[in-house]
Amino acid sequence: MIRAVGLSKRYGSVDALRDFSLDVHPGEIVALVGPNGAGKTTALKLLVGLLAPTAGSVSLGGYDVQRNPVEAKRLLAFLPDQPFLYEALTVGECLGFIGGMYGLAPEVLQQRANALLQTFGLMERLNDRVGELSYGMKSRLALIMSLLHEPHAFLLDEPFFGLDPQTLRLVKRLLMECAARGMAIFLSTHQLPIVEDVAHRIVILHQGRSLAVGTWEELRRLYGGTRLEEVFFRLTSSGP
Amino acid sequence: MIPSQPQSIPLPPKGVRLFYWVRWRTWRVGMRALWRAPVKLGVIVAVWSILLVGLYGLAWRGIRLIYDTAGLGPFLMSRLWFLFLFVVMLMLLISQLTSAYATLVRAPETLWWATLPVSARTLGRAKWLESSFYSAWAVALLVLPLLLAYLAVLHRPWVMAAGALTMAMLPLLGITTALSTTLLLVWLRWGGRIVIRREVMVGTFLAVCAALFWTLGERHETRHEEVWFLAIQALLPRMQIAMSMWLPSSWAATVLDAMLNERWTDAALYTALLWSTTLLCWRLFDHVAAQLLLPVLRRAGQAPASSASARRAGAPVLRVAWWARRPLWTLFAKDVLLVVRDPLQWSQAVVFFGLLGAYFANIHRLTEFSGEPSWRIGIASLNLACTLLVFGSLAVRFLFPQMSVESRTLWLLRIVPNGMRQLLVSKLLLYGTMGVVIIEGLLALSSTRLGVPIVVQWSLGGIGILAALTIVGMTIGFGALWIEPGAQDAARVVSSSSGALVLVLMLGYVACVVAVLVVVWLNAFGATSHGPLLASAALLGTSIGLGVVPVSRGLRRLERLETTT
Repeated sequence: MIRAVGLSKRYGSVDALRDFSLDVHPGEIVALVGPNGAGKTTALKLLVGLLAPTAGSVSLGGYDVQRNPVEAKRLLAFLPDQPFLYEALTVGECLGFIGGMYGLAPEVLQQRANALLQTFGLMERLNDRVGELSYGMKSRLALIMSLLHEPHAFLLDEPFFGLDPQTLRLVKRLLMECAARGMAIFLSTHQLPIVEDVAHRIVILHQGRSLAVGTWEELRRLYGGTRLEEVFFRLTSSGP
Repeated sequence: MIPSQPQSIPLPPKGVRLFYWVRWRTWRVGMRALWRAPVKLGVIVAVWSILLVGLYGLAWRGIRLIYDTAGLGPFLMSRLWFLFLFVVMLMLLISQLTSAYATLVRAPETLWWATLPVSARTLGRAKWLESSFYSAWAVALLVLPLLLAYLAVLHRPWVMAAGALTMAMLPLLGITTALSTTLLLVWLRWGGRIVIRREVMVGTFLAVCAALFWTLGERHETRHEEVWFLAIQALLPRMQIAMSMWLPSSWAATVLDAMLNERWTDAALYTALLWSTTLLCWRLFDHVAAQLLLPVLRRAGQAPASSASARRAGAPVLRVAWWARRPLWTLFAKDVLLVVRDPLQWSQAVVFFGLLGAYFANIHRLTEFSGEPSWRIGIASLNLACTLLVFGSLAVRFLFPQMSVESRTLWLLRIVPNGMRQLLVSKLLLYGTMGVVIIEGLLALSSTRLGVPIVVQWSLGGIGILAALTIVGMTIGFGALWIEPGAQDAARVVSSSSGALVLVLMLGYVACVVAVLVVVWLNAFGATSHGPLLASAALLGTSIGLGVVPVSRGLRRLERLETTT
């Protein structure tokens, strides 16, 4: 579903990402971990087409992100680390807007929005302005907005940041359910214990290079250690 | 747990209209908030009404004066429309460049839209219309009273204004904004990589303007004609550029002239020319946006701070650390660094004050028109008003939103004793000093060049200091009083209803200063009375009211903000 081949990105003399290749299959959750400045956000932005690669290519569902952006974006959902929300609109209006952007039929929009609002406990806030919501509620709304069109590929940048334990568990469960329904999920995070729980495969990125790719079992077998944190520090050599 | 009842989601329209649906909803929320603040609404409506009616009145008198000039009036008036629309076209070109850059490239919303399944063509169309609205509304408000006044002088029905706007102004707006946005996209796609240092750009611009002021200044010749006649003589040859038949503004002026003189064939032909050019320019923009918008957005998004610039940015903190021993001076140092590192702030200040400086440096050449002291003192007073207006506008743009934008970091000051008071004092200290230095410097230049008597220089200097401190107090005080916690975009804070009110208050205050200057001037060269004394006392009272009250109320608001959040 998500395929990156030889992806590189250069900012002046700095290589933000070097020869990054990846395949995320339907029903799979792949987590990208790495220290700050490793190139995680750059990789995600390249995958969704917000940045043009210096070399390499990205395709989503067979559509090249650079050549067929509209078709590719119809299949994907992207949740940035700081999602853009219209603070002056109500929750319902935001959902109406995003439904309109993806061309959802009114009855489909209504049905999906109600289901997601129930799941995330935002039904009571439907007529409240986004600006009045707490950070956690805004994060939940951003997730609902991402999932409203039932994407085939879901890319998330730091989705667990600032969430309370209940929402955290809800998001984890939701991601696993989405994957079970066949969605390809690619997320970047610093929350290593969560990665152990949810990710089918893990990519460790350091200084723009992919150092290791594999399941948690494979990484443990190859690099030793009982926790992902140990493997992470061993590979990135910047641990305490 | 009982599940919540499903509720209906508002269903927006489809296509490009979807974007405007969002804008409409957002605007409606702002209007409702304004409706709930009747005083603020009343002041804004009253001031806008006064401005528009005043502009209409002034335009009517001016147009009437020119129109009634025997044998020359109607001809001169029609030529002045060419010049006016030419200037409008240039203003639109420039304002569209900045507005399109902000709306199309810099807005976080555009990047978000770029991740949605929207074609670049649709995105371009939506953003072009939006940026055109932003860049044109003020121009439309400026043109309308002039047009209505012109119609009134010619005894034509006001309904013709609607025809003039549709046949001439709307296509002129369309052509200008489409071309300007196309040029911007082409530049950002292929020319954007040419990095010119901002200091060099600002310096070159000022040098060119200073050279223009010098070369376009009047020559030393003995003249006996009336001042206005000399001005027209100087103006007419320069009108040739504005009357070039290759310019859309000339076509719009021709349509206007033909309409008002009932030459309907001319009006129809030029309207057809204008609208067909509009469609052509729009198609050109549409095609260019479809091809270039996404590459431009990608280029704009790939400019992280380089490690070198990060090192440069970090260095001065260490250097100033030795003198930033007290909290107040630390805050002062922080504000200095923020100004120095925000090129938007200092470059605008340098450009505007630099232009005034270049103009004042050449102003002595104007004294050929009249050597009379009244003329010189009048110009010196106008220069002070002009400087205050520029300073006030910059203060509203940059000082008023500062507290809101910094609100995300206020937690740092909440843990410091007296943090908020020191924050306000440091800002008043820094910007008050800057204001006084700039205004007094420019005033000294203007007064010296004009040869104004020393007593007048001191008086104007005193008024300048008082006004500078009042404007700083007013903008910082109101910024604290009407703080918008969590605001990220200073421009949005300025364009809010509170920002509009502060702008209006600042304009009102500068108008008060001008009124006092007029009273003093009239007294010096006309009837003697207690007028100057009373006017000065009134100005002092107004200054204290507008400068001190907002600061004390703002401080109280900030302190409450400390305890409640």
